[in-house]
Amino acid sequence: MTHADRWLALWRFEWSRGRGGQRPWKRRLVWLLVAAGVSLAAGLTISASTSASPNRVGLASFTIWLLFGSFSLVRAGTGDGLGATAMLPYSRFTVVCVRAAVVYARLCGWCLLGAALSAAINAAYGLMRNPQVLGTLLSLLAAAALICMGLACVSAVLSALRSSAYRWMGTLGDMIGSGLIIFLCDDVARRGPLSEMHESWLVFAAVYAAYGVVAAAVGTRCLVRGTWLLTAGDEVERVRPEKAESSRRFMHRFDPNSSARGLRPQVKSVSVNLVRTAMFIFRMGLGRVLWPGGARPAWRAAVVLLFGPVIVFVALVALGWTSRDAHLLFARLEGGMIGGAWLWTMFCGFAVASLLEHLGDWMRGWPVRKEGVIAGFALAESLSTWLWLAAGVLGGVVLWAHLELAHLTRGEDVREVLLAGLVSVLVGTWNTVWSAAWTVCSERGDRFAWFSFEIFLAGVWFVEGGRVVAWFDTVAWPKVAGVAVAFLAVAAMALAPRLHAAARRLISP
Amino acid sequence: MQAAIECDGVGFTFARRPILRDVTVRIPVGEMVGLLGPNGAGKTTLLRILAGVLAPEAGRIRVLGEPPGWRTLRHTALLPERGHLPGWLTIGEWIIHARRLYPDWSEERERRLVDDLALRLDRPIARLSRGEGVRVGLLTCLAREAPVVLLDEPFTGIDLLSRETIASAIVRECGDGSRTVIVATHDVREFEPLFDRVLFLKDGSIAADETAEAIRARGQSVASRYREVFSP
Amino acid sequence: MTLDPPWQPPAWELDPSQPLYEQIAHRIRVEIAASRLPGGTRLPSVRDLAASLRVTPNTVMRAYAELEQDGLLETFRGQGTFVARSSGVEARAQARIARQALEHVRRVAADLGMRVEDLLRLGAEAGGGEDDDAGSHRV
Repeated sequence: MTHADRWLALWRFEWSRGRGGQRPWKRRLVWLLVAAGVSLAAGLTISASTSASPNRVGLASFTIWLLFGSFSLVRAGTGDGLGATAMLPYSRFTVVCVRAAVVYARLCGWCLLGAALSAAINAAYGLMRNPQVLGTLLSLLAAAALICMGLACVSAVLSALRSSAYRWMGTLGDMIGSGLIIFLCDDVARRGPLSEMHESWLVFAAVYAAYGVVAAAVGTRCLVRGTWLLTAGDEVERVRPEKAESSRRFMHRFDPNSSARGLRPQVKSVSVNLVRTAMFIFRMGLGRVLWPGGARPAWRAAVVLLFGPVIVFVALVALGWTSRDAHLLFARLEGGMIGGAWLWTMFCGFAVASLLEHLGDWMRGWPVRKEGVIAGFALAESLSTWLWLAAGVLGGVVLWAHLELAHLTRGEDVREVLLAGLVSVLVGTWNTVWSAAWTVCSERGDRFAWFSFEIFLAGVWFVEGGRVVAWFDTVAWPKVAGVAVAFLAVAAMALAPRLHAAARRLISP
Repeated sequence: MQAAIECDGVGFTFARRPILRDVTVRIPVGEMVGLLGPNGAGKTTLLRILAGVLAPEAGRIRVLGEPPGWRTLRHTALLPERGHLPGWLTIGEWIIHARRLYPDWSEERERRLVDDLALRLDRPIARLSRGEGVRVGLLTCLAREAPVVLLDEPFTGIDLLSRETIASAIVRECGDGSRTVIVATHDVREFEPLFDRVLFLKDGSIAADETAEAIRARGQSVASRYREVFSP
Repeated sequence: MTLDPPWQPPAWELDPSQPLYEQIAHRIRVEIAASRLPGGTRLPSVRDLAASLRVTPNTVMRAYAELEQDGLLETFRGQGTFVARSSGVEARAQARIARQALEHVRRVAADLGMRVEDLLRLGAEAGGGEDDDAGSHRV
């Protein structure tokens, strides 16, 4: 067996991952059509709301298409874990290279398909020969090729980085990749004429690709050390402090057998009272959200936790410092906060669902309303949005102060930023509970449709969020209060049946 | 006799909890060794370290004279855990991949094992029962010519008849005197005749290391010796 | 001769608290002594017998080696292990089993503080016979 044969064998094996084996081509075609349809719809919405010029539809659709690829194709390589590959007698370097190459090939295929789609949309608008559009599409493609390189590297080692001290490198890399694509989308859809030069895209993309290579190197080292193997039950490991400390207290409260200690009446009221269960679980989950490091030293956990928001804050201030159109800047910031909160809390929902799965029978045995358990963990998890929102609000206030000195803004800008923060908290909290409940009780196929819809909604928030907040700001206070009350009522009414279904599913999966 | 596996003062800590402490052991070529101990004694960790997929924190290890790493994976077969099988393939597809992936794959052994273990090739691996999953793992391990075979809990959660099938397959594939086999298990009673030698792993260190015949010569079974070592 | 399928041992239950190789050797010796295994019968290979009894091959090898030393088995390189064709194989096996049985009876008698003859008489008078099996099983 020659060296090349072995490489080829590994390549084929890794390539077989994404095929999904049993998935028929019809399903895949439907998948492609759905992705294309959603991208087109998003492209139309974005271009209609910002530039009102049709020459952005194709380009914006392309970036949304890329966003899809960055979510689904990158996951395809990590979904089934590293185990099958790591046991093979290949150097860890070879393993990482081949895995990255496979994901890269897939992503490139996806990019080219998207570019063809985009070109077709452009042709439909008669923009085939427009040099700006063509040039932008080519720059987009070049930037995407670089971003995909970074994404492929990160995806190859995402599982290997788990449960190591460098876990954040994987999640951060994953997030930056998607963030960059959103940045491209934003830049493409910007008001004003399309420029032909996009060096900044290439610079950012190249920096990201370099980050990916570094992450891959670190991941290879983790793979050699084998710490990723120790992740089985990692989630349980992370709630273990709670398990150990408050479990006794907790069971004490809920265990019907402890009636001997005169706790019976309390047990009864707790198990009936959904809100109290939720609050108790919320307190229990709080430690896990605020201190995600588990066994890590406290300062390290804090660094990990604050790293992302601080970077966002710095980037925000740096980018906004020389802004020419202060109002547009704030409208963007507000939209970004709400849209970002929406996206982030969607993933919080996933995290809650997987936590519940890990807790398994241990949790099932608690004699409490499971609706309260889901809601409690989700509420705790949604707190993790607050750090990011705080970074956004703080950045907004700093920018506002800076621009105020230059007499570029008015008082309402800062008010709108604060209002946007409030709206994001409300919307994000609701979305966490909703997406946790949905993830627990939905089938795989529905989940994808829902996932696309959530991303689409996030896109709408990104684009229209500023306008919504501005509207709130112009309306009189009593009206806002009315809207808030109506929102709470509708939100609670929509949530209740979903939570109920999820709780049932939890008890008998 | 040359040692297949030599450990000297091996230690491992995870999340500030010591999992292995000063494990020192020497296993000659061709022995079938039982690594016995209750859950959480560190059996899985020790096997992973011997296989070269997990780096030890302390101590010195030689597997056929080499320090464990990806190179020793070429002559070491570790029974993959359930989640470490390619769930996206069917058994048949996985076999085709495995033939190309492992340089020491023997198609003759593979055919015999597919028959012996009664594997249905068209079944997707993700949907196998626990017993079938272990059998696919055994096929992956034993169809290779690897001189060191490490089996982690091949019997748990499996009905009696399948267990006997599995035990027979292990003996048949490993019984040519050149393969060194370590079986980690807490199912002592039924399978103690499978071991030439037993290592008792207690709280991460070797509590006893004896040949099975030496235990039996004292009129004791391995199971009763196990009870003696581990009962508080 | 080598083309004959080897003898298939019945499914023996082995006692895990006694040396396994001795038990396997004893079972084969009993088969030979009872003339159920005539000279020249091919025995299963070490690996096959180990797989069917689910013991380690080293155990079977040791049992075969012991029987070979007693002259009950002979191994031809590349062909396998056979029951020895020499005359008196059965008698040798019987003698060995008888010696072991006698030793066992002596031990029991010593434990009870009786003479062997008294023990045997007592056993016959008790009208037993059903206990014989237990005795020969243990050796």
